Amino acid sequence: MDKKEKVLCVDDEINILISLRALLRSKYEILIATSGEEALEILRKEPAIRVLISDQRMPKMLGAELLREAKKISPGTMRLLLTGYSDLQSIIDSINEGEVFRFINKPWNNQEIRFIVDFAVKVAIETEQAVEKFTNEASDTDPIASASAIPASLENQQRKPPMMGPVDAASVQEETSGAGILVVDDEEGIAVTLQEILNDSVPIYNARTINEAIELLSNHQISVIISETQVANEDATEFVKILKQNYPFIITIILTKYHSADTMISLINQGQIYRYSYKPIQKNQLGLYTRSALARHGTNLHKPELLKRHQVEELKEIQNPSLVSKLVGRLKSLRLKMGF
Amino acid sequence: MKIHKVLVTICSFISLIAVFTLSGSAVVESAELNEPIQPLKPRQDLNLEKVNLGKLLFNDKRLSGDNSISCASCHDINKGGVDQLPVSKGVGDASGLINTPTVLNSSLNFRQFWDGRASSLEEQIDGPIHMKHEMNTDWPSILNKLKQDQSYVDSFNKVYKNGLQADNIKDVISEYERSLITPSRFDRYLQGQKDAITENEIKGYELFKRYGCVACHQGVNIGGNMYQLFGVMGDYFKDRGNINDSDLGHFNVSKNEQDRHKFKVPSLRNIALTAPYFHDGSAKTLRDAVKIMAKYQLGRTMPEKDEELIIQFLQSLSGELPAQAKGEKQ
Amino acid sequence: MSLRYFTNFVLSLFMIAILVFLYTKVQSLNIDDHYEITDTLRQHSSLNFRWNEQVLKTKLSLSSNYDSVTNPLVDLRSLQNKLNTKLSELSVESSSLKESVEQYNNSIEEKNKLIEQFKGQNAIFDNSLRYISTAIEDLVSEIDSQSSSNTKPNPTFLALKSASQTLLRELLEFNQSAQQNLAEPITEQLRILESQKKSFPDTISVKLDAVIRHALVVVKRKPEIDSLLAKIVSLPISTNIEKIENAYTAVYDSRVRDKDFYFTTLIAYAGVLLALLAFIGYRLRNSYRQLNVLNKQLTVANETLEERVAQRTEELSTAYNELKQSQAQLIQSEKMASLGQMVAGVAHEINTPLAYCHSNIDLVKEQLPDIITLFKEFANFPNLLDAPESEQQALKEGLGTIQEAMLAFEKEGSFDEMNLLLEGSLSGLNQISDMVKSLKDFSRLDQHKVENSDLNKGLDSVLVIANNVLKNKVEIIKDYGEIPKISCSPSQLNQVFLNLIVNASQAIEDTGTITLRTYSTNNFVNINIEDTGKGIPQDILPRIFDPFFTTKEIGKGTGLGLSIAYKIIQQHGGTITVRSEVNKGTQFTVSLPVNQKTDFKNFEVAA
Repeated sequence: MDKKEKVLCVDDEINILISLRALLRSKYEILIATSGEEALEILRKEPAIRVLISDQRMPKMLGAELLREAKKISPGTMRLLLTGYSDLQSIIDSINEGEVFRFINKPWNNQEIRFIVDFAVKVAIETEQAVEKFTNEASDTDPIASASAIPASLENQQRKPPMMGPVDAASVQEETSGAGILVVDDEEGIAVTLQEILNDSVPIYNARTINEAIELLSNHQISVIISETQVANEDATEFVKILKQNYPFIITIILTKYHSADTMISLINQGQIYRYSYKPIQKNQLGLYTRSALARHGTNLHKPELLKRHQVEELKEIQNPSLVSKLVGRLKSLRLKMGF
Repeated sequence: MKIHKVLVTICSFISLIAVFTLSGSAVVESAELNEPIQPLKPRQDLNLEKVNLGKLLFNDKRLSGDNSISCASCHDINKGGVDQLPVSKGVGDASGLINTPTVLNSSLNFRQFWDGRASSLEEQIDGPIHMKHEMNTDWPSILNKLKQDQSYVDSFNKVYKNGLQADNIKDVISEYERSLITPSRFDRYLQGQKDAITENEIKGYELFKRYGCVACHQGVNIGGNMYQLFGVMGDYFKDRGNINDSDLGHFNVSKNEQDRHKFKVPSLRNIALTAPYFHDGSAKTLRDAVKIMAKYQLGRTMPEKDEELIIQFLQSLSGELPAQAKGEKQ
Repeated sequence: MSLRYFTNFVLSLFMIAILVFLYTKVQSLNIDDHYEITDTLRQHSSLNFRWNEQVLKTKLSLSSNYDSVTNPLVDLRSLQNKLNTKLSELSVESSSLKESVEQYNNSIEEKNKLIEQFKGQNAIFDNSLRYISTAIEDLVSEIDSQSSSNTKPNPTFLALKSASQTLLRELLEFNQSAQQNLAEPITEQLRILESQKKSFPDTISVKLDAVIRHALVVVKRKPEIDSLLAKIVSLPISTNIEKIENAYTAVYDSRVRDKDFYFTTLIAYAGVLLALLAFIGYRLRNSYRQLNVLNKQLTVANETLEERVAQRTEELSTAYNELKQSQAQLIQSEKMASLGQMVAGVAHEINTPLAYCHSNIDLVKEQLPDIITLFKEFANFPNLLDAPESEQQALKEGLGTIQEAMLAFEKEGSFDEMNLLLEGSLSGLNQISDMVKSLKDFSRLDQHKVENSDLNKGLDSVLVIANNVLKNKVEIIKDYGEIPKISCSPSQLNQVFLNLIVNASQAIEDTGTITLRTYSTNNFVNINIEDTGKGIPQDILPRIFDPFFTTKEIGKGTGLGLSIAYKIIQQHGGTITVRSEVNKGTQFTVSLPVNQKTDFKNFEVAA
């Protein structure tokens, strides 16, 4: 018999672990842990754990924190988070620090979990090599990784934005090779601030409507999108999701004043957004995220296989089909232009 | 004011000169005014209420200390306004010090008493009231007595606001005395009734004038308007002797040597009724008086014939009491 | 206030007094008096003048009696009286006036004396003067008759006769002239005659004596009379009167000046007073006007008072209602917030069991078809037994399959697993039902009802709900005592306990314990909630029950929890107290009376 791939389940409620194991053991080797610490131990010891499924609310170490640490210890592991409790901050942390792959709502659908786990395992296997390389390289250039060395003992403390040294603009430019940043927001401030931060090293495009964004997209090379969730009374999340679906290279940063756990969850599951922040955002933080996004974009250009790790689910419902079709059309032509 | 003084002086001088130059012409203003003796005119302006009250009090013996004598006791209007004694008798039979002058026509005297010590009838009343040898009393005592008499109280209250008071008593008595004017036949003669007096009386008057009696006994009261030395042409008192205080006359008042033995010239009206004469009452008859006067005052010897005529004239000077005063006997 | 009135009154009196004073001063100068005085003085002057006239007339024998010389004195006396009375008051003011009046009076006295003397002297002189010619005539005629009886003319007789005649002439001359030097020879002559007197016969000597005496009178008296007259005339009567006039005028003038001064002052003062009065009047009028206006306003206000009161009441009650509403809203939002918190926690508590229950049952359901197939195969088996030997192989195969399947099941522990899953699901469902029950217990939908409830049970239900906050972080120590049931609103009390327990848990930063102690004292039931958290600083401690007071960040707490808790306990007639030590812990003590007569109607607010 083939050796089963390993899946690590972490939850402080033993019954959940029992359920998950019963669900997945036929296909996978299920490792269980009842605390984040235990889970990290396993991650350190056991090689090639393909998928990590963790609960969010656990004593001593929250799920987001576990994901963050897991990313460091075993970057190849696909990270899934069970959410039953809409702690917005935890979700955001999972996105920004944990780089979570999928959110799974409790109660879950057994088929759905099987499907996601299967998919995640497959991706983990496919991208195993690319990740190793990325890990070796990224630790130098990924400002987030190097700055995320926050001691685990700090629990429940408000996370301050990490202090950053000046990023080498030139190196950034190298990676991004002239692609620009698209700001999709009907408020001006972001684009202006961004210009101040980047000193015109990178072209910045400001779209006040989604149509405008589409136009800009078709006419310019965009590497990073910084978008609001609601733009000119239109839902921009669909746009972002479709964009990622069809143009996976795009790195998305969401800056929004509208907080919704469901939106965040869907933006990860269907949009694999890179970063999420409330408005107003500190200038430093914006700069940090932007540069890091640009770097990631560069890395992705370098190592396109890594993009697999950020594949998105397909949208089940499309609110604005005309827009979507328009976007898709434009992206098709763009992809042809870009040679994808 | 200096101008005024100058003017007055100039006027005086002018009048003096004028009078001198006109001295001869004997300016006659009126026949009457030229006579040394002026006729009596009874007063018309008397308050009859006061007069009657005064009469009551004049006759009221309560005005003396022992209620024994009244004013009328010495000044009997039926006896020529005197008591015809050399000196009068006062309370407790005290002898007077000087002959009682007549009350009749006394309002015409320029002063009262022989020595002229009282300047008014009212003032004179204080004299006998307070003199120990006369009425020997005082006003409070009198008032006490009189205030018992309701008729007096009422009468006085009618006339005076403050009723029965000393001053008011004096006032009514004086008013009564003012009413005692006695016009005589001689007055009627002076007023033009030529037959009012006899030829002898007229002759007597002429002699009276020629001898110079009229020099002192003149005026409306035939005397009573000046002081004169008793003993002008001879020393009467030296000749008489027994000089007492009463003989000093006006000297008692003025203390001026010049006034020694000067007396108020008495009125000769009703003289026939007021013997004895002179302040000492030494002349019993008119003849005696005339003789002494001629010798000591005139320095003349008067023949009997002249004396007789003068005496007759003097007798004509007796007048009539006014209507309301007549017939009152004490 | 009364002091002010008093001073005002005194001030007005004073001002009126000044006015009266000035007026009297002005009036004091009686112009009639003045005219009378001047008149009197003039009368004095003219009377004196006339008196002098009379004297002179008498001297010059133009006046035949002394009445005219005596009577003026009477008039003068009354005039003097008049003058003295009139001037007496003024004499006080002016010493010169007094002096001049005195001097005048003295002059009058002097005059009177002089005139008296004059009268006396004049009478005598007049008589002698009148008689002297007669006397001399008599003497001459006597001499003549004596001479006629003698034949020889007697030379002495003749000498005497001629001397007598000369004497007469001289006397007349002497009388006419004012020269003094004529007196001497006459006097000499008379002395001679006097010495010769005895040498004559009696008849002659008597007459001669008379002549001598009368001549002497003439000679002696005339100068006396002249001097008297001179004295009389030279009496400074007019000067005196002038002086009096001057002095009086001076006084009068000064009085007039004074009067003028007072008059001016009076006018000015009256003017000032009038102005003051006018001003006061103006002010009064103004204030009256104001008063009127205010009065009108007052009346209007009065009339509309009812309206306005009603209006205000309406406004007030509206405001009050709004306030109550917002208060209710605030409380509601606090409730919602705490509820939200609670619900979130509860949702999580329910969610997890729900998840695995669902999953488990689903899994078991998945297995079911295999089991059914197996069952069906097995059910088919007896049929296969009856089949011919030719199908024994199929039978064996079938058996083998069944065996395999069953072995596989066993090997994989599927049955155990299914049991486990189902058991787990049941327990999970129990958990959920517990939670729901606790929720029910906690919320007590029949909120307005008051009942006797066991607070220990209440605490337990609260603990269940707060479980997700507490689990793995906080150790709960329960120290329940025997406490009687108390009449209360259990839902509200549970709200209080939840708030305290959640606060306690939030105060604990790392791990710690919360001790729940219940005990009864006298008529009270006491609940202690003690934590080993970070404690409350002393300076904050008095404020923790204040509404909206919170030490949490904005948005993290409404600050109403403890204030509502406080209110609920208060409404129950109980007390809530706190003791705390920083870094040691905090202890809340709730004491509730066992029997109470609280009016529970007001519970609406907290509920």
